[in-house]
Amino acid sequence: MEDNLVNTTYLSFTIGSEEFAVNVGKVLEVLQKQSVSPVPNTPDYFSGVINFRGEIIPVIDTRTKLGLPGIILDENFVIIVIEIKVEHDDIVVGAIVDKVKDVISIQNHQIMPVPKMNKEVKTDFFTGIVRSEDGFIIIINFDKIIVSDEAVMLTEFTQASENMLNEITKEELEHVDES
Amino acid sequence: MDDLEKFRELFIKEATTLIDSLEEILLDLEKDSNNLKRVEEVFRVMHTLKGVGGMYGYTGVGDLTHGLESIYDQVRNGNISVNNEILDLTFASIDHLYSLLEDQEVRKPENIARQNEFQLRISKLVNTIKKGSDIKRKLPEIKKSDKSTYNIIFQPEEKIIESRINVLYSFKDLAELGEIKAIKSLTSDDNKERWSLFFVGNCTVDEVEEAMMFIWEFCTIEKVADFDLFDENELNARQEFIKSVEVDLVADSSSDDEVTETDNSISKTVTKSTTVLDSIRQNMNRVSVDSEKLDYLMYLVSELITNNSQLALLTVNQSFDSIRPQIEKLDKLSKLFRNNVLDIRLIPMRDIVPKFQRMIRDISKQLGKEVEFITEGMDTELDKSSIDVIVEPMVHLIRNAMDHGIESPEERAEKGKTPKGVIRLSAYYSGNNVYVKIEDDGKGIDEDVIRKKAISIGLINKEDKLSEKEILNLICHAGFSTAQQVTSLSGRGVGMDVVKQKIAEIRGEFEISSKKDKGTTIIMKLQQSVAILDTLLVKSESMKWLIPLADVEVCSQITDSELDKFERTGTLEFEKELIPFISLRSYFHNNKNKVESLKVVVLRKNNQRYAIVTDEIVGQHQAVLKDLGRLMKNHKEISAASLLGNGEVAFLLNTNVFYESMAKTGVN
Repeated sequence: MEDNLVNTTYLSFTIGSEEFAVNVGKVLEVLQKQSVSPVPNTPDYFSGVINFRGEIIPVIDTRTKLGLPGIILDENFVIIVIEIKVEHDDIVVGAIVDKVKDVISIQNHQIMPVPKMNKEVKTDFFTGIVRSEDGFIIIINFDKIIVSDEAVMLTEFTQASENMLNEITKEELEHVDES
Repeated sequence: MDDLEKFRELFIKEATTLIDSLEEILLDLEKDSNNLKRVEEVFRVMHTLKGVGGMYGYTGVGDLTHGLESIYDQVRNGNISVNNEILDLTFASIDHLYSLLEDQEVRKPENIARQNEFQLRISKLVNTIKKGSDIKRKLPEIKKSDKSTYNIIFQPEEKIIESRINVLYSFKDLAELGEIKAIKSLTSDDNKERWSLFFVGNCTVDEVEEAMMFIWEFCTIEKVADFDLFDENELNARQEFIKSVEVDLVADSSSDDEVTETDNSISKTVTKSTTVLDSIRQNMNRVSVDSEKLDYLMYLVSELITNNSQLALLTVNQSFDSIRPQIEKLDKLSKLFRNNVLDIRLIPMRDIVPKFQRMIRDISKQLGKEVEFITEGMDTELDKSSIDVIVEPMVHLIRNAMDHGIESPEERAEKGKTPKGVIRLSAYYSGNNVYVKIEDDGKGIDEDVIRKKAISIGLINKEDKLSEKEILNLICHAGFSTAQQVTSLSGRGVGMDVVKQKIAEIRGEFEISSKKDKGTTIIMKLQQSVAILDTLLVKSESMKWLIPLADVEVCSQITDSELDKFERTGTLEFEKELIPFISLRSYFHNNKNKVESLKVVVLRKNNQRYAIVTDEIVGQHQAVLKDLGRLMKNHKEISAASLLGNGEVAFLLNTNVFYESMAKTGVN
């Protein structure tokens, strides 16, 4: 099984007390101190958009997306800009994490399947888990984060705004009736 | 292999352009079948397609165009004049040619069948022409012998490789005209490759040049004798002479005056066909560029502009005064650059007209209606991306006009109209907008029918009072347009919602007006350039919003307590008028830190006022609009984003959403 001896390089980062890693080949850039412009009427894990090399790209709050506890307290969060595949298109997104830790090399045979975890944490996006000196590192597949939700996200958008419009209209009408 | 693919792509692109041009030429020919210039053009297109198509292995294209070429050759030579049979055949072959471009070796069964059918039709036509022309064919010019001898000096340059010309094809074409007698490599001092070639054939210099058209610029073509120099009897006597011609030609291939005067039987002819030169000159003024390159150029310009405003922001400080003139100059230059790039992207409407002409021709034959298609202001230019988007809605609209608008000739006669219906397509500028108008003089839209239909599908209530305009706009409603409804309505339901949506995509608007039995007019109001927009930058809480400046009528302000009062009714008082409004804060549930004084931006659309209430008006912003990408393209309120000078992102408000929601409230 020569395949198992192949080394792959990963970028490791932390969210809260957990350590994660993403294939370096997917990472375009790591941004610090970048202000994110929020977009109204979007799901809560959708932090907003940023200007990345002249393009407007969406930014995902990885913590919320993975169902991890806690909120971003520190202003010094980091955005990892990654390229992901959605169907046949390559799209660029930013993922907010707490800190970027290291670039590590992992042999394929070191990667173990993901064990059952706390129900709150969504394990579908994890490729596997690796033992490290201070515990475990979870390898994330960002392709899946978007694919699984894209359709939902879009309908959520339109649904949310439609409901809101209807509400407003109703409210207004009621008021008119009253007066 | 990759290179070959690339060339093939290039070929397809070139071929498509050629076939496209053919439509226009043919439509002209249909009007004036004696237009020899047009005949010549058809011939050339066919010839080029044949040559290049064969080169890349498009056998189907090669065979088909070869046949058509020979027909138009006969026309060119005056053996037959253009008739409907020929035109119909050529029109029909255009569509077939398009499908052949996708089916290189004619493998698809439907293409094989059609290919055979075309071959049959062509050969039938050619045969009938031949029968007719054999009798009247005369052999002009040639007195002593029906053959002439030509000397061709071919001096290939590196360019020939760059332009991917297959030299052999030209010689093959030549060989079809007659006989290539001798090819000889010539030695010379300047190390350039030269070949001398003798050719005997029953043809004119023009025809020889025609055959060599791909490489004619590398050739010197000379008629050396009015007879076959290689005839056994003549050969010996002439051998000496030919050699001297060669030597002289090589010595100075451009001036060969001395040579020709030596013998009366050798006539010097003009080597460069003026028609070829003309067509090349025409093409020199236009460059066709891959639209991806243009998009990239546009991207670079928008980056430059964003960077420029950042630079301006960073250097407001007095300490930069010494370089201020340079910064200002840079600003000016990038604005000029931007305007220029926007200009390059503009395409005249004329470029899409032939498509419509063709469509109208086909549909009117199909429906048995007579339609005159009139165009006006086709020099009006629009951004390429807008043109790409509006073609589809326009096809819909014109088809609707033909199908449901224009009546049959009999029906028109009963109504006292001319039997021929008119569809008029016009375009013009007004302010920053381009208007495209499609009018017909058909039966118009019957409001009663629409009203009944709308009530039956629950769109409106029986007691609703709608203005004429509102009724007409009902047909743009998504549920209103299925094929079945259209026929029962005899109205214009087909995809009107799609039309509306497409036009909204490029931030355009459209308006329908119609008079029963007089006709229908549809006006599209479009932005000339979609990539850059003048906007008003406003702030609500921490968010920055852009409102298209063209929509804004006036700005005003109100206090927070006033807003509270107004918010209960959804309308505010402005200039003694109650106008509907939306507060950005409450709309986006972003109401944390209340502010005392708020700003009102009053917008006007279709002569109706509505307002957007926001915290602060920052100022004007020339927005370089950016796409929001896949994940957010369906966002309802936000249609695009733009980068501000400080790198922040501001969102373009889709004012139509607000307008429509408020208009809806009004109707209810």
